[in-house]
Amino acid sequence: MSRSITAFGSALVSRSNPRALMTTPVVMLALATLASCGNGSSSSAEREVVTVFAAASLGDAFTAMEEAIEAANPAIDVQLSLAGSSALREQILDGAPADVFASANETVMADVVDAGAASSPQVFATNELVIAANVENDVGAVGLADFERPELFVGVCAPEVPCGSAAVEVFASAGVTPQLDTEEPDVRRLLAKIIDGELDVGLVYATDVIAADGAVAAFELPVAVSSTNRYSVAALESAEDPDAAALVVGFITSSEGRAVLETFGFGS
Amino acid sequence: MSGDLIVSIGVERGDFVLDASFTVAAGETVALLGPNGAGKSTVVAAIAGLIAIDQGSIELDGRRLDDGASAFVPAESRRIGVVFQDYLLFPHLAALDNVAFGLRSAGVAKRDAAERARQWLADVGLAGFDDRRPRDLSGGQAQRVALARALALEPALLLLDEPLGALDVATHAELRRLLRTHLESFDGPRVLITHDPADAFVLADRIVILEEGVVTQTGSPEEIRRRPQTRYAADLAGVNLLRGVADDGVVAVAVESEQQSAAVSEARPALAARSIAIADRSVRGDVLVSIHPRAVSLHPRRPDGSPRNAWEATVDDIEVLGDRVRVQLAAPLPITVEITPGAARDLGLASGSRVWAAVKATEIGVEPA
Amino acid sequence: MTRPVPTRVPPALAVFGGIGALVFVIPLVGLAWRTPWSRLGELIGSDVVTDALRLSLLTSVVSALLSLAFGVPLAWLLARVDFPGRRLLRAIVTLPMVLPPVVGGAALLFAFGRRGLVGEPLESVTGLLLPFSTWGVIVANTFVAMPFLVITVEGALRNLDPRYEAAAASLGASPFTVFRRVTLPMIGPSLGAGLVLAWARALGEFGATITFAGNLQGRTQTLPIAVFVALESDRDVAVAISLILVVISVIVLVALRDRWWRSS
Repeated sequence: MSRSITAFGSALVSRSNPRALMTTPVVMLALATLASCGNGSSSSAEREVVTVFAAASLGDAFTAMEEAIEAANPAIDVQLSLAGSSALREQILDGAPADVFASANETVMADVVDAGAASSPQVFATNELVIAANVENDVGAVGLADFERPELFVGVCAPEVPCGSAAVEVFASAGVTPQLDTEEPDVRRLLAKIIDGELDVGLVYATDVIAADGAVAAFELPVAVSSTNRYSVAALESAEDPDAAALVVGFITSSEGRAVLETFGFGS
Repeated sequence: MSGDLIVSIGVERGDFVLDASFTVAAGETVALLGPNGAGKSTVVAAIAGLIAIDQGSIELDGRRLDDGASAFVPAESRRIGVVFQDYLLFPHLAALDNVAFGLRSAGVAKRDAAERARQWLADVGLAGFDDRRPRDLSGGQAQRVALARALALEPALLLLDEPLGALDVATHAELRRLLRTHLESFDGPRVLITHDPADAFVLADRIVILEEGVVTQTGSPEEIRRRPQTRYAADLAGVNLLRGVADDGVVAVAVESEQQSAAVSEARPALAARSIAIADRSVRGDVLVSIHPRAVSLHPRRPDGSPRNAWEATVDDIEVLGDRVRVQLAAPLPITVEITPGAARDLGLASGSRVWAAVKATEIGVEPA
Repeated sequence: MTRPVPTRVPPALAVFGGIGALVFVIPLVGLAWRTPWSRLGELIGSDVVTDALRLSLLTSVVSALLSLAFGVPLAWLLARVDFPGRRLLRAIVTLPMVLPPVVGGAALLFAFGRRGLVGEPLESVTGLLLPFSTWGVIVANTFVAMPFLVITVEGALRNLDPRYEAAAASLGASPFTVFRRVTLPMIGPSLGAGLVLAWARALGEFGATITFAGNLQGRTQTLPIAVFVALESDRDVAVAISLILVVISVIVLVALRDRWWRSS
């Protein structure tokens, strides 16, 4: 029981701390999240605020990235807004006050660029889909073929979000027809259900498996069908302070930024 | 005796303690008369089985319904026909279905129940009202439907809670007469709960007066009228009720042979008549005249200004009740008058003394009888 | 016929009431404004939308009926039986009305999930599994919808003059007959209003459903979930589905709820 609560809670407020996944109760996580929000706003008085819209899967990495940027540039206060890349794209196109956009896939970024809201995006990280299996359900699932077993509970992301569209491509190129039980609207929700044992297997990002810290078993996809997700970042035309925005983008794409990302399992 | 209701109810609800005992024989109507808050509705609830009593017992037709401990027959098994205050006809059911409700609950087939209910409606004078909804019935019609509904199950006891309370004055008297007929045609014990002494005096064979949870007096209407034992009883039971025939603002009152039985026992022949002037000239025919004892003034001589109702009378009896004196007048109009002890002293009243009595026409209550 | 006296409207009430109305009207206008009217037929006719519509109607109606079957007796117990813990139970029953539905869905998982308190033994005995099934949607819907029926019916029961039930009992009716032939018909209007409220809540339910039952077209993807995932990719589809939800809800609420509330 307590294990499920923890896993679920961490999926809800996953940005706070990956180490807390298995041990910290929901309430403490929630408090930690609230506290970090409070810190962010109170210290922003005289510093330049740069609002970064980032894909949900970047959550843990960008929380660390925020600290690194602010440590290197004391005059900058990074504020993160995490959501699905597509949802963020809609917000940006609707005129949301954002300075930097970090998208989980290039097509979403391309929409923003095509609309004239950003230019010259840079790929700064990659992520792979992997098979995640619940460690206790003991289903012996190790390959994509297992996704066709009707007795297993199988989940992927909804095809409308990047991890789901990537999954669709993987199954197509592998010639597998998965017997799906759910298409979760975001990857963290999917992962939580695998950790809780509600689902037996699913396709998630490699970074998510690392964040889960052993709570799920992970199996890499065969190279022939593997799908690499390329994250790209760009300063937005609407940025209030283009120099500060460019500085943040520069840090993310620098070797320093790459080092932060690598600790969370992102490729480069 | 078989058929009787024998009640000894002890109920405690916080500060309120009810301790009431009385018996009602089969074929007898007993009125439970008392002011608001006396505990009348608690008695109804206890007899009907809506509450359990703490002490005492309730027995009906030899069956113990409640003994304050282990024995408790639930309401639906008591075979008591209740006419509730406000009648409580089921608003979603037509008159016929209201009357058939008990029969249907008892397992009588739909068609049978409807047939018998139709007959009951006809018996209470509501033939053809089968499909009426309660909201489309007048107060009097609703009362009769409620009565038919209670009687349809052929209960062992008829319990009427303020059955005339919700009616206007005109229908009140007419329905009281009808109710009396229906009560007399019911064989079991009849219990009438009321706060209206006129209803009690007209309908009941015996009256039980309940005050603050305690029975303060039991007796025939006659006994209560003559010897009220509490202020409440004196106040309400002491109202002079006279029968007469009204015409053009004058009521010819039938005065009976025995001076004190002025009230309403119809069996005795009238020996003499006495005219009383009333305010309402439109009333005609049989009426019930009520004169409050305090509405009558007594004078040593014919009063000035000559009120239309002034007559010389003989004092029959004087009774001192605390701060008031009740004076029984003999012929020509046998009524009870209430005055202060000071006034009684000033008049030098004694049994047999002569005195002038006067009452304003506007102080006299008249209703069709 | 008497001539009706025109209602006089104090300006302050008109202004604030008008603003209050706009809070509801303007978003609807916004929705209509964003609706791709030329593509609407094509969008609504798509598989995803018709599947979600069918599933939404099915699950919301079944949930409303389940709420009726279990909620009315529950309301009766809460209104009429003085048992220990009644106040606590009443608070618990109304909890889904204030709790974020996502939390409700999580709680349902802990209880009825594959590894849940009840779900695990239930599966081993009956083979029945609620998560990722249409029954899971129905359970989640019922969980959030039933409180609306319970509080409406309980309120009606408390307002019902208990003497009518006493009258029925004195006429020989057993407690259940009293309930069936007097209590239920007399609270009929509130029952109808509560049923419509519960249905409407079930139709719009999202958070508990997606958390507990997941999202799969034709099995667990109801209209609100379809809107949510469509918002991620094709906003036109999302708007079209939203429009369907609005139209269905308005039709039912106007036709049924007003009628019952007027008569109650």
